[in-house]
Amino acid sequence: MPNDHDTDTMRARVLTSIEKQGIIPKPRWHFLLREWVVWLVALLAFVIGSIASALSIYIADSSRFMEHAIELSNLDVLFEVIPFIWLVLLGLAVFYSVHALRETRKGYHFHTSWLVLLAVVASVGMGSVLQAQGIGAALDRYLLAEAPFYPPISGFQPAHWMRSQDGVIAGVVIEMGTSSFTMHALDGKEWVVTRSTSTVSNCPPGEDQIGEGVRVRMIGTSTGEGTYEAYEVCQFHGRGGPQSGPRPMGRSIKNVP
Amino acid sequence: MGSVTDCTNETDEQIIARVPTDREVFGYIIDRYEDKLRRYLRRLMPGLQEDTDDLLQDIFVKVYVNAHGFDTSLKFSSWIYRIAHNEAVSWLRKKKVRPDTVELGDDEFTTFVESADIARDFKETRLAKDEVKRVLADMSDKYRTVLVLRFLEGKNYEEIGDILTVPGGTVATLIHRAKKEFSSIYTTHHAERS
Repeated sequence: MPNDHDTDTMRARVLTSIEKQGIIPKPRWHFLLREWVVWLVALLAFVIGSIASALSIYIADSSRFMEHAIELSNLDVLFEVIPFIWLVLLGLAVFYSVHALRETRKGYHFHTSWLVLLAVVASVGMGSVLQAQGIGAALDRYLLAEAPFYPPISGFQPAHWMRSQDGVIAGVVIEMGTSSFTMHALDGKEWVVTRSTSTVSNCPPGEDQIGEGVRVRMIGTSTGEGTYEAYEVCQFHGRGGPQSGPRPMGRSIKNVP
Repeated sequence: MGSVTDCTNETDEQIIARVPTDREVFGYIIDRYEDKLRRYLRRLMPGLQEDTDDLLQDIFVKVYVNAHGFDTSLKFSSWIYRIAHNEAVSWLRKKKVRPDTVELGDDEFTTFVESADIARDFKETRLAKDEVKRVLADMSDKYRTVLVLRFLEGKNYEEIGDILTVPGGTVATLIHRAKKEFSSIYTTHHAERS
């Protein structure tokens, strides 16, 4: 084996250069750390993607209760009910997940389209689980109440149900009376609601049952400061306001005159 | 300088594992890969010539610095070719040069034309070595690289995938497209000459 650094061989050039410049191999932890960071980024992107999916699913699901407002011809409304902010976040999360997975040691073995599919399925799958656990709804309510930037970009649906000037309000029943009840509206205001003698019920089957802690929406007219006369009261499954409390144990009234 | 461990009978993988604690054994890696990588670099970037040694030195230093990063699930040759390839691509980007011809010996020319099955597309035409070299030089870097790795370096699909960090299926697609590009450029050259 040649072993002479003075000769002009590639071996001599490289070893002399390494020696003179004091070059040393990067430590093993450097490579382990890099791999861990890449996996951490992938995990973080997955978590963000799951949350974005949960919110997208929740908001899309809530749109079902706005069937009267959504018409394909009314593009403004259609545009407002699509959860763009969360879909964009989901897209970014998928992009970074795929990018991070590609950077792992074995990542290049997989075609990008498979990694995209994996990231989407994993995020949407976990998002569905989170949504089923009520995490999507809870986070949406929290953001609507606490994050000033959120309602202007995503608060169309709650706003749609809080148009007292048009006779439409929604909230949670906090106290039941024999012919009236008190409701905490989505915007935080309290209303004492009396039932109109001409009450009608166009609620879906079973959705006219209300009681303390139940989220309701109603159609009627404001009869004074904080008082309201309702013609129709149905259970509310849309966005915004506090979560439903436990089902009423005692008194409840049916949405009939 | 102390005595150097005799690694003559050790595999590349065994030697690279020793490198962080015994710098001198890295000489074995240099000896084993100097000619292979020099040839590979000249095929990839024929304009290199006088810079080959500098680039080769940079590649070996990079291999030394990253010795702990060798993925033992890979063949060592794939890993060192990957480093060489990445350095070559960086060098090409930096210098913004294009090759005008590719280094190709007589035996290599025959091997290339036969194994790449390129002659089949040119039954009526006798492939000329100089023409093939010019066509290779005119090809896009991506496609020239896969043809060089597959038909001149003799790498299999898995090794090419490991070197270029692409899936095996993509390698097959790249080779297919590279052959098409080769045929297309060769036809154009031939028509211009006629």
